[in-house]
Amino acid sequence: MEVAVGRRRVLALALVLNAGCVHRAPALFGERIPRACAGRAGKSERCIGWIRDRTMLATAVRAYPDAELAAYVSAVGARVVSATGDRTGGWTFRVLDDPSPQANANPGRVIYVDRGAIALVRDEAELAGLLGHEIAHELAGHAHMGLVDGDVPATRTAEDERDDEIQADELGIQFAARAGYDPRGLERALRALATVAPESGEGEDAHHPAWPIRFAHVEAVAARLPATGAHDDRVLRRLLPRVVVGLDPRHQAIVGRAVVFAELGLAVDFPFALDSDVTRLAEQAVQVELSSQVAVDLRVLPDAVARYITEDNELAVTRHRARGQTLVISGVGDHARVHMIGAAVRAVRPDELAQIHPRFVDLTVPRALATE
Amino acid sequence: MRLAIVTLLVAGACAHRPTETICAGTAWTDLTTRQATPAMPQVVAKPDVTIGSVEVRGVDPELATSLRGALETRPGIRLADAPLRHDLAALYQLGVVDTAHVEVDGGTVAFVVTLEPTVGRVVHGELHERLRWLTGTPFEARRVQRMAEAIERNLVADGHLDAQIAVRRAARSGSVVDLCVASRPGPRVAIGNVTFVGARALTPAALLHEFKDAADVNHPGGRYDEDALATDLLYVSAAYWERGMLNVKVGEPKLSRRGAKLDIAIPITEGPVFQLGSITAPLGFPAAVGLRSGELATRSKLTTANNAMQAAIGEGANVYIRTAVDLDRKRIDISWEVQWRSPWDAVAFWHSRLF
Repeated sequence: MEVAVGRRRVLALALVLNAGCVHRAPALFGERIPRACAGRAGKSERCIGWIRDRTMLATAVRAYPDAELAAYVSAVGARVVSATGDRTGGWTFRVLDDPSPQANANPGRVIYVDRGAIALVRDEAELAGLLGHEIAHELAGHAHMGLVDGDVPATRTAEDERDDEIQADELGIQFAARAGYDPRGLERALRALATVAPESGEGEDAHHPAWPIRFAHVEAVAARLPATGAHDDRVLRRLLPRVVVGLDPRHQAIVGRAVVFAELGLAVDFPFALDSDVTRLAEQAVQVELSSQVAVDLRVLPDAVARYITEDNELAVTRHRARGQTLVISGVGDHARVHMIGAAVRAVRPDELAQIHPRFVDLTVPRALATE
Repeated sequence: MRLAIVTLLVAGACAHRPTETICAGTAWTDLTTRQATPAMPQVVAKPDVTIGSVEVRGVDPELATSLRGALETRPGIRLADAPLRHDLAALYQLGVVDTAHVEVDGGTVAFVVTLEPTVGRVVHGELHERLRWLTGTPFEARRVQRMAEAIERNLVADGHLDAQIAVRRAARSGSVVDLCVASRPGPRVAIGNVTFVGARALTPAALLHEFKDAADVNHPGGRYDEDALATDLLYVSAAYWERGMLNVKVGEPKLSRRGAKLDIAIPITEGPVFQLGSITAPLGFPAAVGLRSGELATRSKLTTANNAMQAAIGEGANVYIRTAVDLDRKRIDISWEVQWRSPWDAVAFWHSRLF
């Protein structure tokens, strides 16, 4: 329950900041709002995308700190975009520091690829297929459904969303093939995804089709295209071993009775063993249950965002700033205990840092093993 | 809801979808969606035959392998109609098969399939850029229909309340289907009059001023936006609440068309003006709220008083204003409910007040 409250708060915060900044302030999270997005023009697809992207980057996601990998993914994405015939420009490809094997299209020509998805691919055709899928979502208008005037989200059913996924697969294959990649690349990537997310597509309310249906569609499209496509995988295979697999312990890790935020140089001591009391909320957030009624969130946020989280009747908050970021410790229910935890923050010790080892993609073993 | 309104407004017109322009000609036929469970041909299975091999024919080997994965028919089992019919249904449910039938030759069972045709040309005038992305993808009638409906919704939202989109198809060859999307946007309907039926305490101009939309939305000459109007009507109610009419009823707007004009009539029952009756503050806060019995009861006064009460009590408790309406005497009695977060908060509060 406390988790849900916390998440809603962050979302509400983002929405409030969105609304506030569009109408009253010239900047959003420190970046100037484009003049074209002022007033009613702000409802355009590009502007909604810009606002969403800035809000996501400030509050919910962060870029994976590998400039060469980011440039490489952008180059592959640009090659696929050029094959679509789209000349509107302004495409942005972001590699996110998130272990989930996902990619997403944001309105306004912004494509997000989690490092967890990159860790799964083994050749450039697979990456091109994944990017083609997201590019297709954007070009076909799926990415902005429900966000822009005129598209009525209530009319979209789970079945519609599953069909959007199939259409994005079909177009993604074509785009990648036109860019010179093997049309079977997306299928290989999807089969790899299926090994780590076999439950995707199960149930009538699923937003993605069941894997057998998806495979049949991508094979049916790929079979109609020439099975050629030359690409050089050397760059990708050089970059892949630098990609972290799973949660990055440098963001947050459990060491003994402490939650350690190595990048911030901070640690929080708890008076009990943490193993069964910790839930990982995200890459930089954990929740520790103090009792069945009380839990605290330990969340790393940019300073500019953290200051918006205020203590009120429901939420006890303490903050610890370090290296341009803020560790926010918040909890619902028992203020005294939450504040006590907040007071237990200290500098991380060298012996704790010595126990933190991220795991990277291993190209010498099958990918299901290398990325699980 | 919008579509329902349009349907009512253009009653009878929807039976005739627009096809008279770019989609004219005998080559174009109705876009039909395949039935969910296609009729199964009778499989002529011979009893006492054990299946030796199962093949999927008509597609490339990799796809055939995947399609075979959807089948329950396997080598070594007895040949029977029911499993074969089940497998044909399973093949159709994958959504990539246009036709499928079974051929039995001795112990060999072959599922012979043809794939869905692909979309060839899409003729759509200048309707919608996104339609071009259908070209080259497998033909899915339901998807095409859905895209057409989205275009229609966009036109309606832009004020073309009579907009109609029709999609027709033509088979160029067995494996390619051309599509034609014809549009009849109709006139852009502008709002004619906005009237407030039953309003007396406030002028129509004052009430229209409460609408917070831009001038081109829900104002005379502008376009109709149902969702925005629902919000506007809350502001209308709030305007009455500021005049003590706390029991005002703002009814469902009635829409009527005059050609390319849309009139909006908003029924209003103003009700009586209320004064404040008794004001019962929590123990120890007689003066904190700033309300006086007998003065006009307005929403902003009650809100201000509640905020003042909350500020006075602090964060140890939540305060909730309670109202009791006396319709006969046109009075509203006020009291507060205080919910302490914990007994310790209450003790701490009273300790600070008393000592």
